[in-house]
Amino acid sequence: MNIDVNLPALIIVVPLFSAMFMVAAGVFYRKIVPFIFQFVSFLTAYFSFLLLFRVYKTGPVRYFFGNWAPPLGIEYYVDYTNILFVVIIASVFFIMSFYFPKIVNNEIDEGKTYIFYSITTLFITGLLGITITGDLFNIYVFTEISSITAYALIAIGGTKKSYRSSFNYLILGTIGASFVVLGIGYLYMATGTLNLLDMQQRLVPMYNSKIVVVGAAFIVLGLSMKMALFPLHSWLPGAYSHSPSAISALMSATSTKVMAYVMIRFLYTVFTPKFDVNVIPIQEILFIISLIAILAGSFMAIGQKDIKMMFAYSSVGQIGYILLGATMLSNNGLVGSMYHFLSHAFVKGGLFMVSGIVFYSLSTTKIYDYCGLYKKMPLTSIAFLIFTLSMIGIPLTSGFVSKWYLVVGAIDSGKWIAVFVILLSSLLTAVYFWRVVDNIFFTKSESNNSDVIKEPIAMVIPTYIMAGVTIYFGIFTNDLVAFAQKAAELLMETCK
Amino acid sequence: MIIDFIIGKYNYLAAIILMLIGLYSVIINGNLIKKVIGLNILSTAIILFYISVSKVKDGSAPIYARDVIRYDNPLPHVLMLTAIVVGVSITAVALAIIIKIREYYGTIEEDEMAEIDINEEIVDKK
Repeated sequence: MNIDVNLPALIIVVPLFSAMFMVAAGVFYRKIVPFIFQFVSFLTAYFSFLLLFRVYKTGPVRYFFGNWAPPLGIEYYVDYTNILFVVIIASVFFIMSFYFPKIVNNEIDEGKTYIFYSITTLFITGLLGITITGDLFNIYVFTEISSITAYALIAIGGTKKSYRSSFNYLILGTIGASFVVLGIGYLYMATGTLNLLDMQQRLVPMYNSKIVVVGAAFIVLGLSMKMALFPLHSWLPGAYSHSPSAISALMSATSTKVMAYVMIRFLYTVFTPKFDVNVIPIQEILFIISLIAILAGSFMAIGQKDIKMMFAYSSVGQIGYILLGATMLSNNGLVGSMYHFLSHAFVKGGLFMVSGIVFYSLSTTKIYDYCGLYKKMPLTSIAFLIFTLSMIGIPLTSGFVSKWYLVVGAIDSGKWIAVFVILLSSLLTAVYFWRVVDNIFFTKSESNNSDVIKEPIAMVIPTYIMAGVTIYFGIFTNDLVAFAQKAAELLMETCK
Repeated sequence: MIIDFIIGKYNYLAAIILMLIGLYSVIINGNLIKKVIGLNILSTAIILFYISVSKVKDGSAPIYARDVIRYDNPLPHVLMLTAIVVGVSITAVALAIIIKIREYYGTIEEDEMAEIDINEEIVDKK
């Protein structure tokens, strides 16, 4: 078998089958499962990097399943945009797989750990599938794979609240996915095809048809629900804060952002900007909603007492940034959006990892209990500081670069209000994060019990790798920006 | 006019009405099992919608036969097989979670659960 030709399929097939293999292996010998998990994550990351180099060299790759050419067959379409997302998801998965074993042994019942690893692998398979596929119904199926596993993973936390928030997410997520599949049904009714690129061409003469407009409305609404855009975000805080620490780290780094990617795909590839702007003003509406989301997420984060809750509300705001860049119809805005995808995946993932380490050592998630943490856990505290600086957008971190490009994009398209909102929200981010930093570094803990706690090195090292990535992409920006420019140009081609 | 419209598109109308019933019962009911039933009605409505799309005028079932000229479109049927599987697995997960909720709260009514949560918070503060 030639690995190079089948790369797009291998990225999905390897984790999909090894998830099943893990269950079988776990029945006989439980201790081997974490190693299989790490090996699979390594293979996935390796394949995705190989594919990245191939796309970089030769341009977009189209992979036909079973050699059935589209529109008849199913196609995996990998261009500059989604290879970026695939690589980010795969590498976050790879880094976190080394963080997992210790925390999983701590928080999950021993008899369930191998199933936990297997479901996590399936979850990532679903997310990778959504990003890599070029077929609309495939997007729905992979969405459901990733959502159903996500419901199970949240519920595996085993507390009262985690079951309730999992059920909450299940109801809202299923309604959202149903809307998406109904919208896809309308589009299929109009065009008779499910292939992304084919549909783009067939839709052009039908932009004024009511079927297409209704389909677009259903899809945009369903995706907004799945990506927790501001008024529809009510499932997210519970889902992130009551799940096991490892899962909140992995989910916050990947799941809602992948839905934001699907939204970008629909706005630019399936419906061209001509439709979004002229027929029904989707871009305009989403622009305003994402501005509200950014501010509302930041405001709601300020009052939280639980640190995971605070991160979750801040995620609601951050998803607004990603969508904001996509709705400004400018190259730089899209670059900012993609850069923010990377930046936020590593930063928010890292922040949840820090809260996981603190929970592992002190078993608390209250912000109040973070007082005097620097004395107890210096390494963890410094990692937290690095991520905080990146969240606020201080230069030399990736958060600065992404906000820079978002602001430049806003100026390019003459939307000054976006500039104002981005700056204001950075200020608010500083307010609610600095409260925690102040607790960690400058407040003494009341209990006077400030012995240094032995930090779990196996968990601290992956956290620092995440921090390192954040700083690396804050300093050496050229390569990634050039690549994102290419991707943005390819997306914006449909504008002409 | 209106009667022609209803007779011509009654399957789509039924799908939309079913969908609204499903959504309504998900939103309005406090009972978790009834919410899951609502979700099932919603997904059934979508299946009906897709199957309606596949019908071709004067078409026969998509099985090869000599004297048939037109066939129905078989693709939506296949897609809906996947959707049925998805619906079943969502129901399974939902019911499993409900069993656990019942174990921990002793009830599956949403307002009673909210009451329990609020009482616990008050106890925590004291």
